[in-house]
Amino acid sequence: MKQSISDFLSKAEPSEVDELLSGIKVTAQDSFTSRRITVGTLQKAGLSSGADCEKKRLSPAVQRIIAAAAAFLVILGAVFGGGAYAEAKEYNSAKTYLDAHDISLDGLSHSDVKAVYKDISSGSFSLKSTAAAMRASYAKGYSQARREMDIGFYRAVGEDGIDDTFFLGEIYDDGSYYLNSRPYYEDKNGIHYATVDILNEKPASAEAGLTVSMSDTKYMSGIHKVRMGEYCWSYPLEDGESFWNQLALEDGMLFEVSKPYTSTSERPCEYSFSLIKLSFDGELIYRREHSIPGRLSHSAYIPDADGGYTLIGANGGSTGSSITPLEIYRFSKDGELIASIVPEMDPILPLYCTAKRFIGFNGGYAVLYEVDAIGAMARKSGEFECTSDTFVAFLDADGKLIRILECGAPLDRLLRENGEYFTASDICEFDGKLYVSGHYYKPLSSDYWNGLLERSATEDVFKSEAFSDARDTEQAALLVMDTETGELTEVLRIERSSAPYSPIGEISVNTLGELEFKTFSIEELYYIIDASGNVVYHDSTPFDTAYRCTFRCRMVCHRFDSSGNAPVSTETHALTLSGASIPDLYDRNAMSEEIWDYLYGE
Amino acid sequence: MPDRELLELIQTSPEKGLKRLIAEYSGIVYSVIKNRLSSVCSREDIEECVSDTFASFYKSVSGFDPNKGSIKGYLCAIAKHRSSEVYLRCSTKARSVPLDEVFDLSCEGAVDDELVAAEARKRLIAAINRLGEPDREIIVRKYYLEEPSKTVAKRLGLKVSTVDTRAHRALKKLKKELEGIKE
Repeated sequence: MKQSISDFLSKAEPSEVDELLSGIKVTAQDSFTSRRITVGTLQKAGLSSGADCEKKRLSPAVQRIIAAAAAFLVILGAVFGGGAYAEAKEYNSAKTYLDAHDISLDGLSHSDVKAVYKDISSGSFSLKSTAAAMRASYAKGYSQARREMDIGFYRAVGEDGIDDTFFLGEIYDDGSYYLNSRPYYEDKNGIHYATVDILNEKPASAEAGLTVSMSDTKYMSGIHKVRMGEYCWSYPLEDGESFWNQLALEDGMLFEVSKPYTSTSERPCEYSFSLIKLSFDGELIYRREHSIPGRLSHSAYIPDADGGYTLIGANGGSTGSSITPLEIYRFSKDGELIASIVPEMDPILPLYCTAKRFIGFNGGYAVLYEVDAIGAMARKSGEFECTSDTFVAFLDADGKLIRILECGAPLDRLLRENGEYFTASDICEFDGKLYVSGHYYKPLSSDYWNGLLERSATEDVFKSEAFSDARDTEQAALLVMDTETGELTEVLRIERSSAPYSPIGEISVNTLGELEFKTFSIEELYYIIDASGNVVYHDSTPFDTAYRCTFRCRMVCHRFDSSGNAPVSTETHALTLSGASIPDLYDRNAMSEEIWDYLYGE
Repeated sequence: MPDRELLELIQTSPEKGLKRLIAEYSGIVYSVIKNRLSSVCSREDIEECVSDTFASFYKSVSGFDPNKGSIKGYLCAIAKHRSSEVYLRCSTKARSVPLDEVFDLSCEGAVDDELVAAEARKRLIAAINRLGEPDREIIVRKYYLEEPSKTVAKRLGLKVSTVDTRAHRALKKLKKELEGIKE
């Protein structure tokens, strides 16, 4: 029997394959390829969830308008003619303009595109095709920035396939995500166009010279689903409604919907709150309106065995009303409100705080809070005052505030000095004490980074300087608190490590009764490069810059016993992460199988 | 995740189980298929073949016998089979194979081709496993995973020329051992 060695081996039985591949590692795929494969496989297996997205069609009336306008414009174009080159140039200009102003080109012919461009850029807004194009845009829920992120996010970069574009919202396993509508302005002719920033009354279009105010705006409110950069469907909401929060469940999506203001009222005003559950295909399962004032944004969702669920979160409130640190609502599986705990207390906590974690504690609750708006001033009422940007609130069984433990940086930026700050990640009760995990850090100034990055074009400064400075200014730590008084009794610091990103920073009790604390120990930093491979610095947030940072780290798990003085054991794993500057620890491609199993294995 | 638990998950919660299966093994399956098909197929065709592999495993999961191999082994066997079919369909010319990669492993007195092939393959794999490292890994990567020498070199931290030289010597050794035994 004569064959090539490859042909012999290609027919290996499963047990023979196991023998051959024993001890041989293969790199996992990038997350984008993995997602495409997942979607394709689920479809082939007849298990697609939300895989079938039909584009929402324009209404027949609108389609007729567009068809008529298109036909009319085509005739006009044919009659008046024009050189091919001039036409192409004009078309390209029109397309560029409309793209930049977020006007959908779907359903528009070449002539339409040019006509709509002229109609908008001249400020006429007289064509029905312009209105139709804008309505189609709102139905898609796109913004220019979002469109760029959509395209960037799903574009594989090179052979290794790591795309470093940041995405601000949550993307689910099938590549889908959900958007709110944007407000729009309707003029006296019924023509709609988008507003850029209604709060600050900025012009919607500088060329059109439009300025709109709050009282002029309307909403084509809706929840829009997009998948893999393609629009799927819209579910209409009432005037002014938008969703603040979303949960992916087994059988659909749950949206927490509020109405901050209506199209005819000033903002902010009365809020309303609804729970809307939609199937993954956009069909309504239920809509329940609840008289929960303010703006509830849950930070914990606890499903019941019978299909009901409990939402726990802080309530941002509305002007003139109380801000409550914790509200607990229990719903049936059909979204009916069954029970609630809303503590009555004076507003004593800073604005815009988010409950990051909560645990049952001493018959009540211990809630780890983070203040969202830096610079918000603390309010003092009664015997409590909070001046920290991260704190633990201890509540009794009825949700009433008992005490506050501050553990973060000073709330007021004016009061901050160039000192050491603490950012909390997690809380856990262990052996009769309360532990808060996080890390201490000293912020490095922008001048420092500017200087380094300017030099980085010619020197490999990151290999030694920036990295060692950053490494030496961070320390993962555990704050240990007395459960009776909530007083801080001890701080356990881990040298040369940090705990900034979930799941790093999490603490839990393992099956051996040890407290496990996952931290980050960075060994070497190499370089920061852009998608073209150049060492660069970009003077903006990571949200609109694609750049890549590669560094080699050790992920360390420290284990404490009940004495808690120092780790009784540590386990380290080499970890090489490539990705955006904030490592994506949910990207399977970013680490070996061993690490993945360690972090997420069951 | 242990195979037993993964199978249970596929059976009790098919979508979740399939997603977990893909998360665990898409790397190796993609590698097997891509290395075979990259010269004749587009990326989309390769990904489709990978999806077909997983879907095929899912549809026949009730026939999976853990005594005959692991899930990984099964998936790779399916992937090899599918990618060979696609290759034959897509390539316009026969693949040329260097002479030193061709083995003559017939068994005396054997009349059943399939049995012959199975027996020959068994001897070949056993001989590969006796090679010692890094030669064993080089041979498996080059001739089972079909990785180019450059990729093998990068993974093992060797020079490309070292990989080629060691592969050539390892093949010679295998031939001597296997064809020599026949003689």
